[in-house]
Amino acid sequence: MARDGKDSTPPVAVRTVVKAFLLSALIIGAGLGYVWQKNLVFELAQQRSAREVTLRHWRDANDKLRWDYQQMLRPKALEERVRELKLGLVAPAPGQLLRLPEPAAEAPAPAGP
Amino acid sequence: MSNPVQIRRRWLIVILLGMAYSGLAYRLVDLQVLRRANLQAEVWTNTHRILQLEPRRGDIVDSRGNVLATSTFVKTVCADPALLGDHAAEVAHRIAPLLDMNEAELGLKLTPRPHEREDGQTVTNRFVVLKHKVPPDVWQAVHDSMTNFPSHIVDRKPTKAEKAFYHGLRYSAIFVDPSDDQLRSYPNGHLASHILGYVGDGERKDSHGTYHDIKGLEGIEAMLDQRMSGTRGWRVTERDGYRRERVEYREENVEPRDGLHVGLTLDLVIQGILESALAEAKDKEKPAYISGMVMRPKTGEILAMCSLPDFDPNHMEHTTADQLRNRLIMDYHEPGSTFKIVVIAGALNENLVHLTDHINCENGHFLYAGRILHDSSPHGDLTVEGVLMKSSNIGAAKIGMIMERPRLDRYMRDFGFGAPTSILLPHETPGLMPRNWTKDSIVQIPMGQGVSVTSLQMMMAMGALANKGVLMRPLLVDRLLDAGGNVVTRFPPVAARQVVSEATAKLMVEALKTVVTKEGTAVRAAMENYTVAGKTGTAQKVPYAAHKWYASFAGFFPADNPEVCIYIAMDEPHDPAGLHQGGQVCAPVFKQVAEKVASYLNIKPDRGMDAPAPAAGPAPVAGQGKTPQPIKTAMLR
Repeated sequence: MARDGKDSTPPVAVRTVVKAFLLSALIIGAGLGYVWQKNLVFELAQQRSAREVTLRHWRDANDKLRWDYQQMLRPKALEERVRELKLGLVAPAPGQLLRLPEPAAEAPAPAGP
Repeated sequence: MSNPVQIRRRWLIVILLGMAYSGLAYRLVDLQVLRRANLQAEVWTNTHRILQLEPRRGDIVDSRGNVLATSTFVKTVCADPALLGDHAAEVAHRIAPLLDMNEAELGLKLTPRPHEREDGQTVTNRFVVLKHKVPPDVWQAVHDSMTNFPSHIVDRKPTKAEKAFYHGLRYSAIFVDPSDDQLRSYPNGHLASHILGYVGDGERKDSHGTYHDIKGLEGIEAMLDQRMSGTRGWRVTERDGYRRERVEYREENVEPRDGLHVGLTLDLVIQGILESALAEAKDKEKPAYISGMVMRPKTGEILAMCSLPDFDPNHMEHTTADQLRNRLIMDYHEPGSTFKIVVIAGALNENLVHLTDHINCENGHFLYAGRILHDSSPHGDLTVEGVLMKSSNIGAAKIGMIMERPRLDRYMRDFGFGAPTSILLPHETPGLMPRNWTKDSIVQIPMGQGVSVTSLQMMMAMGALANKGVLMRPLLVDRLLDAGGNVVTRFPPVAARQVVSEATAKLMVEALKTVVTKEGTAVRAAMENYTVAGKTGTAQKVPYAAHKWYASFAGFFPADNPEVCIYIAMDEPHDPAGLHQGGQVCAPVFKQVAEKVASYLNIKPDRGMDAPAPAAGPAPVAGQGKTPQPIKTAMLR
C-alpha cells in the first residue's frame, strides 16, 4: 500500500504530540500556578491587614481597660468609694490583729554512723 | 507591476515608519537606560513609604506592681484641605466638638491656603495637622462622623466627578498620621510626681520625614529615659493611589522592641499615706513647703518621698518652677539639732565620751570665741544622753570641742554629708561642708549650724544609726522588667560604709529613744504600740535675726529592730499657736504617718498589748526584715 504512494503522509508521532501536550500543560500550569499564588499572597495580605487592625483595636481597648483599672486602684479613689458606700472601714487596732508565729526551724537530723 | 509612484509611496511609508520606530526606540533607551536611576528613584518615592514603628515606652510601677506611669498609643489627626472644597466650615462644625477644639480655629486650619511653588505654579496646601495626642476612640468618632458626611446633591444624580469628590471628602480629607504617637499618663496625678518626673514632646527628623518623640525631662522619666524608650522598628511598604497600604508588597517589616518597665521601691499606699499627712499638716501649719520621706533603714529602700507643693505630670501647662522643685534633694539647709546625732555618735565611737558622762551646760549661756551660745531652756549638768534628749546646743558644742576638728570633719563625711547620696534622681546637690573653719565652727557645727545638708542626707544618716552603724545607699529603683513582666535587671541594696560600730549605733538608739519621752523634745512622736527613736531639729534660717525656722524630725521604729525610718520637715511653719519647733510641728506628722504605715506593713508592735512577753523563747518574726505582706486580718469597725 505504501508503495503505490496513496498513503504517503507520515504517521503522527505520538511522542511529539505527548511532548507538545506536556509542554502546553506545563506552560498553562505555570501560568495558573502563578495566578493562584498571587491570589493567595493577596488574600493572605488582606487577612494580615485585617488582623493587624483587630490587634490594634484590642491594644487600644486593652490600654483603656488598663487605665480604668489603675484609676480604680488609686488610694484616693478607694477612700472615696469606702466613704460613698459607708462601709466604716478603718485600720485595725494592734489588738485586733491576730498573728500566727512562724514555726521554729526543725533541727537537722543527727548524722548516721 | 508597481509603477514608480507606488514604489515612492512605499518608500515614504517605510521611511516614516522607520523614523517613528527610531523615535520610540530612542525614547525607550532614554527612559530605560539613560534616565533609569532617576526615574526608578522617583517611582520608588511615589509608591513606597517608610513607616517608623513606635515602641511602647515602659511603665513605671511601684514595689507591688501598681502602675504609676504608663503610655497609650494615640493618633495625630491631619487634614487635606484641598479635598474639602467649600465644606471646610461644615467639617469644622462636625468635628470640632469631637476633638475638643475651637470651631473657628479649626475652620481656619481646614481652609485651603494657596501658595506659589518653586516652578511658579499656584497650589493649595495638602497637609495640615489638626490635633496631636488624640485617643483612638475619639479618632473613631471623628472618622465615623466624616464617613457619614451628607451629600449636598439630592435633586439629581451626582456626576462621576462629584461622586469622586464626596468619596475623597468622606474617606481621605481627614486622616491620621500612620506613625503612632504616645500619650504618657500618670493614673495617680500628683502622687510621687517629684520622683516620677514628666516627659516632653519633641519632633525627630530624618531623611524620611518628621516623627513624634517623647523624652523624659525630670525624675525617673529622665534618668531612665533610654531604658524606657525601647527601640524603634520600621516598615518599607507600597501604597496605592488612595494612600492605602498594599500589604502584599511590604519589603521590610522590623517590629519595634518595647521599652523596659521600671520597678520602684516606692509603695503606692505608703506614698498616699505620706502625701495625705503632709497635705493636712500643710493646711494646718502653713509652711512655705513641707516634705517627708519613708525608708527601710536595713536596705535603704525609699518607700515614699514627697515635697509639697508638687505638680500633676498629666497637666504641666500651669506648673511653676516652685512646684517642680524636689526639695528633699535639691535644697540644702542648716539641719539644726538633728545634726547632733553625728557629733555624739562620733564621740561615742571614738570612746571620747560615754552616755553617762556629765556635761556642764552652763545654765543656757556659754561664751566661746566671742560668741554666746544659747539653749532653748537652761540646763545645768546633763549626761551625754541628756544632751541628746534635751537637745542642748551647749552640750553638743562641748562634745564637738572634745572631738576636735579632724575627727568631726571625718565623721560628717562618713555619715554622707558633703557628697551626693547617688539616688537615681536628677539635680541632687551635695550640700555644703565648711571649707574654712573659723574659731567658732567647732561649737557651731555640732548644733547644726555652719553646715548645709539635704533632707535625704539627714535621713540616710539617721538610717545608718538604725541599721547598726551601716550607711546604706538610697534605693529607688530595684528592678527593670521586660514587656512580659520578667525581671531583666535587679538592683540589690548597697551598703556605703560602716560609719560607727554596731555597739555605738546601739548606744545611740538607746539615747534617741529618750528623745521621744515626756522629758525629751519629741513626746508628740511617741506611738502607743511601738518604741520610737528619733531626733528633732529646729534650725534658725539665715539671717538668724529674721526668726524664720526650719523644723524637722527624723525617727524610726520599732527602735530595737527598725523597720521604717521617717523624716518630716517644714520650712517656715506658721502655726496659729506660734509653734515652730520640730518636736511641736513635725513630730505629730511623724506619728500620724508612722501609725498608718505600721498598720499597713503589719509591723509587729514591740510594746503595748501585742508586744511579745519577755523571755518567751524566739519571738515571732512576722513582718520583720521581710517583704511586707498586706494585712490579712479582717478590718473591723
